[in-house]
Amino acid sequence: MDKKKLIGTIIGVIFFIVLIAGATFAWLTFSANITNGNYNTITGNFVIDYVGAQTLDDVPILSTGTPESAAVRTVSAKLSTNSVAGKLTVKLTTNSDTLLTTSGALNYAVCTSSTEASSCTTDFSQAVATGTINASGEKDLYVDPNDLTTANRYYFVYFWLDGSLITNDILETPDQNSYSGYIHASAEQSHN
Amino acid sequence: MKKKFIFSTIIAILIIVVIAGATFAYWQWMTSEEEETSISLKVEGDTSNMSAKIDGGSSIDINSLIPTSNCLSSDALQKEITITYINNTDISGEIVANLDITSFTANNGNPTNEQLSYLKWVITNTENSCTTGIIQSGDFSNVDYHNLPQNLITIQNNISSNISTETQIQPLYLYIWLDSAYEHINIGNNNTDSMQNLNFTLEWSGIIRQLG
Repeated sequence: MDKKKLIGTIIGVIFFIVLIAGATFAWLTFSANITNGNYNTITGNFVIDYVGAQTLDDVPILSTGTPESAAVRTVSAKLSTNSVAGKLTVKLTTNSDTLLTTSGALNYAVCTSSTEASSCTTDFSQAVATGTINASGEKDLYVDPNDLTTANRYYFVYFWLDGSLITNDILETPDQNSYSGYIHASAEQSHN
Repeated sequence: MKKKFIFSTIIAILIIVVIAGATFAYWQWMTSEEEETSISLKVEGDTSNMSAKIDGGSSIDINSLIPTSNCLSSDALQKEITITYINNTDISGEIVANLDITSFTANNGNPTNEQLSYLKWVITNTENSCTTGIIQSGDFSNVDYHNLPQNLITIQNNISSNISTETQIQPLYLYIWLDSAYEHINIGNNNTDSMQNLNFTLEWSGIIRQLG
């Protein structure tokens, strides 16, 4: 036997199993431990329950205004349910621009109460605001410095005309003897 | 001569078989159950070596936001965020803290992005100040509150290696307020303000991890 040939005819099959060791290093990651980490948050409401008054179409002419003799209209306001606190301003908007309007003859007084009975009884010494109207436009009659509450607060707005300021021009010039306007209110949230 | 031929023929057939992958019913063998090596493991946080804590400052109160120009007022929200960590590994890392919006209910109609831009937040490193030491600031205008949770704030801090005792990163202070520049007038008994009576929840989460 030819050894070389024998060796030559022996064919070996060699399987190589190659182990590829892929070493992967995982970077450590852990969750943080959370305490006090929930914030339940709401934003407030700001709505006022306001009740207006019926139309005023006649105002007396007086030498001295008193609660008993002046014309009065009562409005009320309170915080709506779940509303944040706020402060009310009672306003008067004057539409007319007549001689009567600019004469300053129209007087007002504002009294407040927590009941439907005015704090002003025989005179206006307890009034929280007094003044006169002498121009068209918007006027703050009373800026209440106290927060509204969920209980009604009543605002009594009195009007009368000062006879000494009503001139012949007002009475005799066409269309100069009238006044028109309206009572309304606004409020702003109280804030820190 | 014949023997050599037969031998090399058998070898050749074996080779062909192996290469072609044909199946023949050769005897098989497998391990018994008794011979199997069981492997079971658990993943556990190695908190003795690597952990982080985030204290968001108090969850007890319901924070009620009312328009204000003062981020320190009781109409705004202020929280002190305390983040502590241990990293007793040889690899430095980072802490990532996220404040997410996880619930959002608009009870008066959906606020617009413009309206939400008045709901502002600031993170500073200064107690009692939302203007000094500002780290990040923003507002809620980009919140897609129909797809929650939404990430509001992400704070990232690098941390050193070989820190074996609990260490605090710099104190952080969160301020959230509804800016008083936001104007709305409710008329009469109707609440038409989408920014009023909003309910939302913010939640902290975070991770501590090694970095390459």
